Amino acid sequence: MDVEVVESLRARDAQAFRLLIERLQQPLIGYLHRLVGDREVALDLAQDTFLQTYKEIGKTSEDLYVDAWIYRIATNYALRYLKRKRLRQFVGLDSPSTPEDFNVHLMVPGPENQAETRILVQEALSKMKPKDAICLQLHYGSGFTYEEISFVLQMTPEAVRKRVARCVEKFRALYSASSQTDDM
Amino acid sequence: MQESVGEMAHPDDSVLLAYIRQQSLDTSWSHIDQHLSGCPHCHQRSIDFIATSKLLTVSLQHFQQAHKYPSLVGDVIELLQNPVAARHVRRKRQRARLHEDLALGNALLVKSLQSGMNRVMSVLPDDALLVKSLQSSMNHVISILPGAARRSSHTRMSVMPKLLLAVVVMLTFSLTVNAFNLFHVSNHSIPIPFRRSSVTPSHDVTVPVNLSTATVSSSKKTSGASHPTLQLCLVHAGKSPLHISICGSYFTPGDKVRLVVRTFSGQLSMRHPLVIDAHGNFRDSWIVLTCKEYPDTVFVLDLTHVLAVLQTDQSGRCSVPTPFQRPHGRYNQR
Repeated sequence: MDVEVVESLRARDAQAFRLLIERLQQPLIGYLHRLVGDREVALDLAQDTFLQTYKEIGKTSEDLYVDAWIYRIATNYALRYLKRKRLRQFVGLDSPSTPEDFNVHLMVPGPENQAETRILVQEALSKMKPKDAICLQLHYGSGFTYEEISFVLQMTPEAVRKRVARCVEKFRALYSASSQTDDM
Repeated sequence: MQESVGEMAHPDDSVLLAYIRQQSLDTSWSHIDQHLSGCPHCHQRSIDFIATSKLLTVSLQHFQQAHKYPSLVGDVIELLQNPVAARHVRRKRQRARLHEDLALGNALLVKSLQSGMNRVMSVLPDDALLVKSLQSSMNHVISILPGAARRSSHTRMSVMPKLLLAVVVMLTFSLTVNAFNLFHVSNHSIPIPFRRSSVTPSHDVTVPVNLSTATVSSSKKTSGASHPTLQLCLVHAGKSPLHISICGSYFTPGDKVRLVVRTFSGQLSMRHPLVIDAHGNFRDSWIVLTCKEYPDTVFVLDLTHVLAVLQTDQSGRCSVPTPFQRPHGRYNQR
Protein backbone atom coordinates (compact mmCIF):
# COMPACT_ATOMS: atom_id res chain seq x y z
CA MET A 1 0.00 0.00 0.00
CA ASP A 2 1.16 3.51 -0.78
CA VAL A 3 2.90 5.40 1.96
CA GLU A 4 0.58 8.31 1.17
CA VAL A 5 -2.49 6.20 1.85
CA VAL A 6 -1.05 5.02 5.14
CA GLU A 7 -0.25 8.62 5.97
CA SER A 8 -3.86 9.65 5.19
CA LEU A 9 -5.18 6.88 7.36
CA ARG A 10 -2.87 7.87 10.18
CA ALA A 11 -4.17 11.41 9.81
CA ARG A 12 -7.71 9.98 10.27
CA ASP A 13 -8.80 11.06 6.80
CA ALA A 14 -12.45 9.94 6.53
CA GLN A 15 -12.31 9.45 2.78
CA ALA A 16 -9.20 7.27 3.00
CA PHE A 17 -10.85 5.28 5.71
CA ARG A 18 -14.04 4.84 3.66
CA LEU A 19 -11.99 3.54 0.74
CA LEU A 20 -10.14 1.16 3.03
CA ILE A 21 -13.39 -0.30 4.40
CA GLU A 22 -14.85 -0.62 0.91
CA ARG A 23 -11.79 -2.47 -0.29
CA LEU A 24 -11.37 -4.80 2.67
CA GLN A 25 -14.84 -5.45 4.06
CA GLN A 26 -15.92 -8.35 1.84
CA PRO A 27 -12.73 -10.44 2.13
CA LEU A 28 -12.41 -9.61 5.83
CA ILE A 29 -16.00 -10.60 6.66
CA GLY A 30 -15.58 -13.75 4.57
CA TYR A 31 -12.39 -14.59 6.45
CA LEU A 32 -14.08 -14.04 9.81
CA HIS A 33 -17.18 -15.92 8.71
CA ARG A 34 -15.08 -18.92 7.83
CA LEU A 35 -13.20 -18.75 11.13
CA VAL A 36 -16.11 -18.30 13.53
CA GLY A 37 -18.75 -20.12 11.48
CA ASP A 38 -21.46 -17.53 12.12
CA ARG A 39 -22.37 -14.81 9.62
CA GLU A 40 -23.81 -12.32 12.12
CA VAL A 41 -20.90 -12.73 14.51
CA ALA A 42 -18.53 -12.21 11.57
CA LEU A 43 -20.28 -8.93 10.69
CA ASP A 44 -20.04 -7.72 14.31
CA LEU A 45 -16.39 -8.67 14.56
CA ALA A 46 -15.61 -6.93 11.27
CA GLN A 47 -17.29 -3.74 12.49
CA ASP A 48 -15.34 -3.91 15.76
CA THR A 49 -12.18 -4.45 13.76
CA PHE A 50 -12.70 -1.31 11.66
CA LEU A 51 -13.58 0.79 14.71
CA GLN A 52 -10.47 -0.47 16.48
CA THR A 53 -8.40 0.25 13.37
CA TYR A 54 -9.57 3.84 13.28
CA LYS A 55 -8.89 4.23 16.98
CA GLU A 56 -5.38 2.78 16.94
CA ILE A 57 -3.98 3.67 13.52
CA GLY A 58 -2.51 6.93 14.76
CA LYS A 59 -0.15 4.95 16.99
CA THR A 60 1.38 2.97 14.12
CA SER A 61 4.39 3.72 11.94
CA GLU A 62 4.49 4.78 8.29
CA ASP A 63 5.86 1.48 7.02
CA LEU A 64 2.80 -0.38 8.31
CA TYR A 65 1.34 -3.33 6.38
CA VAL A 66 -2.18 -1.99 6.77
CA ASP A 67 -3.99 -5.07 5.46
CA ALA A 68 -1.95 -7.47 7.58
CA TRP A 69 -2.38 -5.23 10.61
CA ILE A 70 -6.17 -5.14 10.17
CA TYR A 71 -6.22 -8.91 9.73
CA ARG A 72 -4.21 -9.21 12.92
CA ILE A 73 -6.87 -7.25 14.82
CA ALA A 74 -9.63 -9.33 13.21
CA THR A 75 -7.79 -12.58 13.98
CA ASN A 76 -7.39 -11.60 17.62
CA TYR A 77 -11.10 -10.82 17.84
CA ALA A 78 -11.97 -14.13 16.20
CA LEU A 79 -9.65 -16.12 18.48
CA ARG A 80 -11.09 -14.38 21.53
CA TYR A 81 -14.59 -15.19 20.33
CA LEU A 82 -13.71 -18.84 19.69
CA LYS A 83 -12.13 -19.12 23.12
CA ARG A 84 -15.26 -17.81 24.81
CA LYS A 85 -17.43 -20.03 22.64
CA ARG A 86 -15.44 -23.10 23.72
CA LEU A 87 -15.79 -22.03 27.35
CA ARG A 88 -19.53 -21.52 26.93
CA GLN A 89 -19.85 -24.97 25.42
CA PHE A 90 -17.75 -26.44 28.22
CA VAL A 91 -20.03 -25.08 30.96
CA GLY A 92 -23.15 -25.96 28.99
CA LEU A 93 -24.32 -22.42 28.17
CA ASP A 94 -24.08 -23.20 24.44
CA SER A 95 -24.76 -26.42 22.65
CA PRO A 96 -21.75 -27.60 20.66
CA SER A 97 -22.02 -26.47 17.05
CA THR A 98 -22.08 -29.22 14.47
CA PRO A 99 -20.31 -29.04 11.11
CA GLU A 100 -23.77 -29.12 9.48
CA ASP A 101 -24.46 -25.62 10.88
CA PHE A 102 -21.73 -24.19 8.71
CA ASN A 103 -22.11 -26.53 5.75
CA VAL A 104 -25.23 -24.62 4.70
CA HIS A 105 -22.92 -21.78 3.70
CA LEU A 106 -20.81 -24.10 1.59
CA MET A 107 -23.72 -25.36 -0.50
CA VAL A 108 -23.51 -22.52 -2.99
CA PRO A 109 -23.05 -23.69 -6.55
CA GLY A 110 -19.56 -22.96 -7.80
CA PRO A 111 -18.02 -23.01 -11.23
CA GLU A 112 -17.34 -26.71 -10.87
CA ASN A 113 -20.21 -27.38 -8.48
CA GLN A 114 -17.84 -28.90 -5.95
CA ALA A 115 -19.99 -28.52 -2.85
CA GLU A 116 -19.04 -31.95 -1.55
CA THR A 117 -15.33 -31.22 -1.83
CA ARG A 118 -15.79 -27.90 -0.07
CA ILE A 119 -17.60 -29.65 2.78
CA LEU A 120 -14.77 -32.17 3.13
CA VAL A 121 -12.22 -29.34 3.12
CA GLN A 122 -14.22 -27.53 5.78
CA GLU A 123 -14.49 -30.70 7.89
CA ALA A 124 -10.74 -31.17 7.74
CA LEU A 125 -10.11 -27.52 8.65
CA SER A 126 -12.57 -27.64 11.54
CA LYS A 127 -10.63 -30.55 13.06
CA MET A 128 -7.43 -28.50 13.12
CA LYS A 129 -6.36 -26.10 15.85
CA PRO A 130 -7.71 -22.57 15.21
CA LYS A 131 -4.23 -21.11 14.74
CA ASP A 132 -3.32 -23.80 12.20
CA ALA A 133 -6.55 -23.29 10.30
CA ILE A 134 -5.92 -19.52 10.37
CA CYS A 135 -2.51 -20.06 8.82
CA LEU A 136 -3.98 -21.94 5.87
CA GLN A 137 -6.90 -19.57 5.60
CA LEU A 138 -4.60 -16.54 5.39
CA HIS A 139 -2.26 -18.08 2.85
CA TYR A 140 -4.66 -19.95 0.57
CA GLY A 141 -7.90 -18.09 1.22
CA SER A 142 -6.76 -14.50 1.58
CA GLY A 143 -3.60 -14.81 -0.49
CA PHE A 144 -1.21 -13.50 2.15
CA THR A 145 2.51 -14.10 1.73
CA TYR A 146 4.54 -15.78 4.44
CA GLU A 147 5.94 -12.41 5.42
CA GLU A 148 2.48 -10.90 5.81
CA ILE A 149 1.30 -13.93 7.79
CA SER A 150 4.30 -13.51 10.04
CA PHE A 151 3.07 -9.99 10.75
CA VAL A 152 -0.51 -11.14 11.41
CA LEU A 153 0.46 -14.03 13.68
CA GLN A 154 3.47 -12.31 15.26
CA MET A 155 5.92 -14.98 14.17
CA THR A 156 9.08 -15.03 12.10
CA PRO A 157 8.74 -15.81 8.36
CA GLU A 158 10.79 -18.96 8.95
CA ALA A 159 8.34 -20.14 11.60
CA VAL A 160 5.45 -19.38 9.24
CA ARG A 161 7.12 -21.40 6.48
CA LYS A 162 7.43 -24.41 8.78
CA ARG A 163 3.97 -23.98 10.17
CA VAL A 164 2.32 -23.74 6.75
CA ALA A 165 4.08 -26.94 5.65
CA ARG A 166 3.08 -28.72 8.85
CA CYS A 167 -0.52 -27.53 8.51
CA VAL A 168 -0.69 -28.66 4.89
CA GLU A 169 0.51 -32.12 5.95
CA LYS A 170 -2.02 -32.20 8.75
CA PHE A 171 -4.75 -31.01 6.42
CA ARG A 172 -3.87 -33.65 3.85
CA ALA A 173 -4.11 -36.42 6.45
CA LEU A 174 -7.44 -35.15 7.78
CA TYR A 175 -8.83 -34.61 4.31
CA SER A 176 -7.96 -38.14 3.16
CA ALA A 177 -9.46 -39.55 6.37
CA SER A 178 -12.68 -37.59 5.77
CA SER A 179 -12.81 -38.67 2.13
CA GLN A 180 -12.36 -42.31 3.06
CA THR A 181 -15.09 -42.09 5.72
CA ASP A 182 -17.34 -40.43 3.19
CA ASP A 183 -16.74 -43.17 0.63
CA MET A 184 -17.67 -45.94 3.07
CA MET B 1 17.41 -29.71 4.14
CA GLN B 2 16.90 -33.32 5.06
CA GLU B 3 19.08 -35.99 3.51
CA SER B 4 21.46 -35.87 0.60
CA VAL B 5 21.33 -37.73 -2.67
CA GLY B 6 24.65 -37.51 -4.39
CA GLU B 7 25.81 -33.93 -4.14
CA MET B 8 22.41 -32.33 -3.54
CA ALA B 9 20.20 -32.53 -0.51
CA HIS B 10 16.47 -33.18 -0.58
CA PRO B 11 14.69 -29.96 0.31
CA ASP B 12 12.49 -30.39 3.35
CA ASP B 13 8.71 -30.04 3.09
CA SER B 14 8.61 -26.40 4.14
CA VAL B 15 11.25 -25.35 1.58
CA LEU B 16 9.61 -27.36 -1.18
CA LEU B 17 6.21 -25.88 -0.39
CA ALA B 18 7.64 -22.36 -0.24
CA TYR B 19 9.23 -22.98 -3.64
CA ILE B 20 5.91 -24.18 -5.06
CA ARG B 21 4.06 -21.24 -3.55
CA GLN B 22 6.79 -18.88 -4.79
CA GLN B 23 7.47 -17.42 -1.39
CA SER B 24 10.76 -15.59 -1.26
CA LEU B 25 13.25 -17.27 1.01
CA ASP B 26 16.99 -17.09 1.47
CA THR B 27 17.29 -20.50 -0.18
CA SER B 28 18.34 -20.36 -3.80
CA TRP B 29 15.58 -21.59 -6.08
CA SER B 30 18.00 -22.64 -8.84
CA HIS B 31 19.34 -25.43 -6.61
CA ILE B 32 15.79 -26.69 -6.03
CA ASP B 33 14.99 -26.49 -9.74
CA GLN B 34 18.05 -28.54 -10.46
CA HIS B 35 17.26 -31.02 -7.70
CA LEU B 36 13.65 -31.53 -8.78
CA SER B 37 14.64 -32.28 -12.34
CA GLY B 38 16.88 -35.09 -11.16
CA CYS B 39 15.00 -36.50 -8.17
CA PRO B 40 11.77 -38.42 -8.92
CA HIS B 41 10.97 -38.67 -5.19
CA CYS B 42 10.98 -34.89 -4.67
CA HIS B 43 9.24 -34.42 -7.99
CA GLN B 44 6.38 -36.60 -6.74
CA ARG B 45 6.32 -34.70 -3.43
CA SER B 46 6.03 -31.43 -5.29
CA ILE B 47 3.14 -32.79 -7.36
CA ASP B 48 1.34 -33.78 -4.14
CA PHE B 49 1.91 -30.33 -2.66
CA ILE B 50 0.63 -28.65 -5.82
CA ALA B 51 -2.54 -30.78 -5.73
CA THR B 52 -3.21 -29.98 -2.04
CA SER B 53 -2.48 -26.28 -2.58
CA LYS B 54 -4.87 -26.18 -5.50
CA LEU B 55 -7.57 -27.91 -3.49
CA LEU B 56 -7.18 -25.42 -0.64
CA THR B 57 -6.98 -22.35 -2.88
CA VAL B 58 -10.00 -23.26 -4.97
CA SER B 59 -12.08 -24.23 -1.98
CA LEU B 60 -11.21 -21.29 0.29
CA GLN B 61 -11.23 -18.59 -2.36
CA HIS B 62 -14.50 -19.84 -3.76
CA PHE B 63 -16.08 -19.33 -0.37
CA GLN B 64 -14.88 -15.73 -0.30
CA GLN B 65 -16.20 -15.05 -3.80
CA ALA B 66 -19.54 -16.82 -3.35
CA HIS B 67 -20.66 -14.80 -0.36
CA LYS B 68 -21.79 -11.22 -0.48
CA TYR B 69 -22.14 -9.43 2.81
CA PRO B 70 -23.96 -6.19 3.59
CA SER B 71 -21.75 -3.13 3.48
CA LEU B 72 -20.39 -1.88 6.79
CA VAL B 73 -19.18 1.45 5.40
CA GLY B 74 -22.28 3.45 6.37
CA ASP B 75 -22.48 2.08 9.89
CA VAL B 76 -18.78 2.40 10.62
CA ILE B 77 -18.44 5.91 9.19
CA GLU B 78 -21.54 7.02 11.05
CA LEU B 79 -20.15 5.66 14.28
CA LEU B 80 -16.81 7.31 13.63
CA GLN B 81 -18.38 10.70 12.90
CA ASN B 82 -20.56 10.51 15.97
CA PRO B 83 -18.26 9.75 18.88
CA VAL B 84 -21.18 9.69 21.34
CA ALA B 85 -22.96 7.00 19.33
CA ALA B 86 -19.68 5.12 18.92
CA ARG B 87 -19.10 5.29 22.67
CA HIS B 88 -22.66 4.09 23.23
CA VAL B 89 -22.13 1.10 20.94
CA ARG B 90 -18.80 0.35 22.59
CA ARG B 91 -20.35 0.49 26.06
CA LYS B 92 -23.23 -1.68 24.96
CA ARG B 93 -20.77 -4.28 23.70
CA GLN B 94 -18.74 -4.00 26.92
CA ARG B 95 -21.91 -4.47 28.99
CA ALA B 96 -22.90 -7.49 26.92
CA ARG B 97 -19.42 -8.94 27.38
CA LEU B 98 -19.56 -8.25 31.13
CA HIS B 99 -22.89 -10.05 31.40
CA GLU B 100 -21.52 -12.91 29.40
CA ASP B 101 -18.41 -13.05 31.59
CA LEU B 102 -20.55 -13.12 34.70
CA ALA B 103 -22.77 -15.84 33.28
CA LEU B 104 -19.66 -17.80 32.33
CA GLY B 105 -18.18 -17.32 35.79
CA ASN B 106 -21.39 -18.45 37.43
CA ALA B 107 -21.69 -21.44 35.17
CA LEU B 108 -18.11 -22.41 35.92
CA LEU B 109 -18.72 -21.99 39.65
CA VAL B 110 -21.89 -24.09 39.52
CA LYS B 111 -20.08 -26.78 37.55
CA SER B 112 -17.20 -26.93 40.02
CA LEU B 113 -19.56 -26.81 43.02
CA GLN B 114 -21.60 -29.65 41.59
CA SER B 115 -18.56 -31.79 40.93
CA GLY B 116 -17.26 -30.98 44.44
CA MET B 117 -20.64 -31.87 45.89
CA ASN B 118 -20.67 -35.20 44.09
CA ARG B 119 -17.28 -35.93 45.56
CA VAL B 120 -18.46 -35.04 49.05
CA MET B 121 -21.54 -37.23 48.64
CA SER B 122 -19.43 -40.16 47.57
CA VAL B 123 -17.49 -40.21 50.84
CA LEU B 124 -20.22 -39.25 53.29
CA PRO B 125 -21.30 -41.85 55.82
CA ASP B 126 -24.64 -43.52 55.38
CA ASP B 127 -26.47 -40.83 57.28
CA ALA B 128 -29.60 -39.83 55.40
CA LEU B 129 -30.21 -36.73 57.49
CA LEU B 130 -26.70 -35.38 56.94
CA VAL B 131 -26.82 -36.08 53.21
CA LYS B 132 -30.23 -34.47 52.89
CA SER B 133 -29.24 -31.32 54.75
CA LEU B 134 -26.03 -30.96 52.74
CA GLN B 135 -27.91 -31.42 49.50
CA SER B 136 -30.52 -28.84 50.40
CA SER B 137 -27.84 -26.27 51.41
CA MET B 138 -26.01 -26.93 48.19
CA ASN B 139 -29.12 -26.59 46.08
CA HIS B 140 -29.85 -23.30 47.79
CA VAL B 141 -26.36 -22.00 47.04
CA ILE B 142 -26.57 -23.10 43.40
CA SER B 143 -30.04 -21.67 42.97
CA ILE B 144 -28.84 -18.15 43.74
CA LEU B 145 -25.98 -18.23 41.25
CA PRO B 146 -27.38 -18.40 37.69
CA GLY B 147 -29.86 -15.56 38.35
CA ALA B 148 -26.99 -13.17 39.03
CA ALA B 149 -26.23 -12.79 35.35
CA ARG B 150 -29.65 -11.38 34.62
CA ARG B 151 -29.60 -8.75 37.33
CA SER B 152 -28.45 -5.18 37.06
CA SER B 153 -24.96 -4.20 38.06
CA HIS B 154 -26.31 -2.69 41.28
CA THR B 155 -28.03 -5.91 42.30
CA ARG B 156 -24.98 -7.85 41.16
CA MET B 157 -22.96 -6.26 43.92
CA SER B 158 -25.33 -7.73 46.50
CA VAL B 159 -24.73 -11.14 44.99
CA MET B 160 -21.07 -11.00 45.92
CA PRO B 161 -21.65 -11.90 49.60
CA LYS B 162 -23.68 -14.88 48.41
CA LEU B 163 -20.84 -15.94 46.16
CA LEU B 164 -18.52 -15.62 49.13
CA LEU B 165 -20.98 -17.73 51.12
CA ALA B 166 -20.83 -20.34 48.38
CA VAL B 167 -17.05 -20.39 48.58
CA VAL B 168 -17.21 -20.72 52.38
CA VAL B 169 -19.69 -23.59 52.07
CA MET B 170 -17.40 -25.24 49.57
CA LEU B 171 -14.44 -24.88 51.92
CA THR B 172 -16.48 -26.36 54.75
CA PHE B 173 -17.34 -29.29 52.53
CA SER B 174 -13.70 -29.75 51.65
CA LEU B 175 -12.79 -29.82 55.32
CA THR B 176 -15.55 -32.33 55.94
CA VAL B 177 -14.22 -34.47 53.13
CA ASN B 178 -10.74 -34.31 54.58
CA ALA B 179 -12.08 -35.27 57.98
CA PHE B 180 -13.89 -38.26 56.56
CA ASN B 181 -10.95 -39.21 54.42
CA LEU B 182 -9.05 -39.82 57.63
CA PHE B 183 -11.28 -42.81 58.12
CA HIS B 184 -11.02 -45.55 55.64
CA VAL B 185 -14.32 -46.60 57.06
CA SER B 186 -17.13 -44.72 55.45
CA ASN B 187 -20.49 -45.46 53.99
CA HIS B 188 -18.66 -47.91 51.80
CA SER B 189 -18.22 -51.30 53.33
CA ILE B 190 -14.68 -52.02 54.37
CA PRO B 191 -13.17 -54.53 52.04
CA ILE B 192 -12.14 -57.29 54.37
CA PRO B 193 -8.86 -58.88 53.39
CA PHE B 194 -9.07 -62.60 52.68
CA ARG B 195 -7.79 -64.93 55.27
CA ARG B 196 -4.56 -66.72 54.67
CA SER B 197 -5.39 -70.38 54.15
CA SER B 198 -2.89 -71.67 56.68
CA VAL B 199 -1.32 -69.91 59.59
CA THR B 200 1.97 -71.36 60.67
CA PRO B 201 1.94 -71.56 64.44
CA SER B 202 4.65 -69.49 65.93
CA HIS B 203 7.21 -71.43 67.85
CA ASP B 204 7.35 -69.31 70.92
CA VAL B 205 4.11 -67.44 71.39
CA THR B 206 0.45 -68.14 71.31
CA VAL B 207 -1.02 -66.68 68.12
CA PRO B 208 -4.76 -66.41 68.29
CA VAL B 209 -5.03 -64.64 64.94
CA ASN B 210 -2.45 -62.92 62.83
CA LEU B 211 -3.44 -59.28 62.82
CA SER B 212 -2.19 -58.43 59.37
CA THR B 213 -4.22 -61.10 57.69
CA ALA B 214 -6.98 -62.06 59.98
CA THR B 215 -10.24 -60.34 60.27
CA VAL B 216 -13.36 -62.29 59.78
CA SER B 217 -13.58 -65.95 59.11
CA SER B 218 -14.51 -66.51 55.52
CA SER B 219 -17.05 -69.09 56.55
CA LYS B 220 -18.96 -66.54 58.59
CA LYS B 221 -22.03 -65.78 56.63
CA THR B 222 -25.49 -65.61 57.97
CA SER B 223 -27.35 -65.20 54.74
CA GLY B 224 -26.71 -66.15 51.12
CA ALA B 225 -24.08 -63.96 49.49
CA SER B 226 -23.88 -61.32 52.26
CA HIS B 227 -20.34 -60.93 53.48
CA PRO B 228 -19.44 -59.60 56.88
CA THR B 229 -19.10 -55.85 56.57
CA LEU B 230 -18.07 -52.89 58.69
CA GLN B 231 -19.52 -49.43 58.56
CA LEU B 232 -18.88 -46.13 60.24
CA CYS B 233 -22.41 -45.80 61.55
CA LEU B 234 -22.19 -42.73 63.77
CA VAL B 235 -20.05 -39.64 64.00
CA HIS B 236 -20.94 -36.79 66.28
CA ALA B 237 -18.51 -34.40 64.68
CA GLY B 238 -20.23 -31.33 66.02
CA LYS B 239 -19.60 -32.29 69.60
CA SER B 240 -16.39 -32.29 71.51
CA PRO B 241 -15.00 -34.84 72.09
CA LEU B 242 -15.77 -36.72 68.89
CA HIS B 243 -17.92 -39.84 69.24
CA ILE B 244 -17.63 -42.52 66.63
CA SER B 245 -19.29 -45.91 66.27
CA ILE B 246 -18.35 -48.84 64.09
CA CYS B 247 -21.13 -51.26 63.17
CA GLY B 248 -20.66 -54.77 61.87
CA SER B 249 -23.28 -56.74 59.97
CA TYR B 250 -23.71 -60.26 58.58
CA PHE B 251 -21.59 -61.90 61.23
CA THR B 252 -22.44 -65.25 62.84
CA PRO B 253 -24.65 -64.69 65.88
CA GLY B 254 -23.02 -65.61 69.15
CA ASP B 255 -19.46 -65.32 67.87
CA LYS B 256 -16.94 -63.32 69.81
CA VAL B 257 -15.00 -60.63 67.93
CA ARG B 258 -12.70 -57.80 68.79
CA LEU B 259 -11.90 -54.65 66.85
CA VAL B 260 -8.31 -53.66 66.24
CA VAL B 261 -7.94 -50.01 65.35
CA ARG B 262 -4.95 -48.58 63.54
CA THR B 263 -4.96 -44.86 64.17
CA PHE B 264 -3.88 -42.15 61.81
CA SER B 265 -0.61 -41.87 63.73
CA GLY B 266 0.07 -45.56 63.08
CA GLN B 267 -0.71 -46.83 66.59
CA LEU B 268 -2.57 -50.10 66.98
CA SER B 269 -5.07 -50.51 69.76
CA MET B 270 -7.42 -53.33 70.69
CA ARG B 271 -11.01 -52.74 71.63
CA HIS B 272 -12.79 -54.88 74.17
CA PRO B 273 -14.33 -58.19 73.04
CA LEU B 274 -17.85 -58.10 71.64
CA VAL B 275 -20.48 -60.76 71.15
CA ILE B 276 -22.42 -60.79 67.86
CA ASP B 277 -26.14 -60.37 68.50
CA ALA B 278 -28.91 -62.62 67.23
CA HIS B 279 -29.19 -60.62 63.98
CA GLY B 280 -25.51 -60.98 63.17
CA ASN B 281 -24.72 -57.37 64.09
CA PHE B 282 -22.48 -55.66 66.60
CA ARG B 283 -21.57 -52.10 67.44
CA ASP B 284 -18.54 -50.60 69.12
CA SER B 285 -18.31 -46.95 70.12
CA TRP B 286 -15.54 -44.85 71.53
CA ILE B 287 -14.36 -41.30 71.91
CA VAL B 288 -11.62 -39.71 69.86
CA LEU B 289 -9.85 -36.88 71.60
CA THR B 290 -7.20 -35.85 69.10
CA CYS B 291 -6.59 -36.12 65.40
CA LYS B 292 -3.85 -38.66 66.04
CA GLU B 293 -6.48 -41.00 67.43
CA TYR B 294 -8.65 -40.97 64.28
CA PRO B 295 -9.00 -44.51 63.02
CA ASP B 296 -7.17 -45.14 59.80
CA THR B 297 -8.10 -48.79 59.41
CA VAL B 298 -10.32 -51.03 61.50
CA PHE B 299 -9.85 -54.80 61.60
CA VAL B 300 -12.08 -57.43 63.16
CA LEU B 301 -10.48 -60.28 65.03
CA ASP B 302 -12.34 -63.53 65.22
CA LEU B 303 -11.95 -64.78 68.80
CA THR B 304 -14.24 -67.78 68.37
CA HIS B 305 -12.31 -69.62 65.74
CA VAL B 306 -8.67 -69.58 66.69
CA LEU B 307 -6.59 -71.27 64.07
CA ALA B 308 -3.66 -72.49 66.07
CA VAL B 309 -2.57 -72.43 69.65
CA LEU B 310 0.80 -73.23 71.12
CA GLN B 311 1.08 -73.56 74.86
CA THR B 312 4.64 -73.02 76.06
CA ASP B 313 3.93 -74.61 79.44
CA GLN B 314 6.46 -72.43 81.24
CA SER B 315 4.12 -71.42 84.04
CA GLY B 316 6.17 -69.76 86.75
CA ARG B 317 9.44 -71.24 85.57
CA CYS B 318 10.51 -68.65 83.08
CA SER B 319 14.10 -67.48 83.26
CA VAL B 320 15.52 -65.41 80.43
CA PRO B 321 19.32 -65.24 80.34
CA THR B 322 20.69 -61.75 79.74
CA PRO B 323 23.57 -61.50 77.23
CA PHE B 324 25.56 -59.02 79.32
CA GLN B 325 25.75 -58.60 83.04
CA ARG B 326 24.38 -55.18 83.75
CA PRO B 327 26.57 -53.28 86.20
CA HIS B 328 24.37 -52.62 89.20
CA GLY B 329 23.76 -49.05 90.17
CA ARG B 330 25.69 -47.48 87.34
CA TYR B 331 22.66 -46.60 85.21
CA ASN B 332 20.81 -45.39 88.22
CA GLN B 333 23.56 -42.90 88.94
CA ARG B 334 23.10 -41.12 85.66
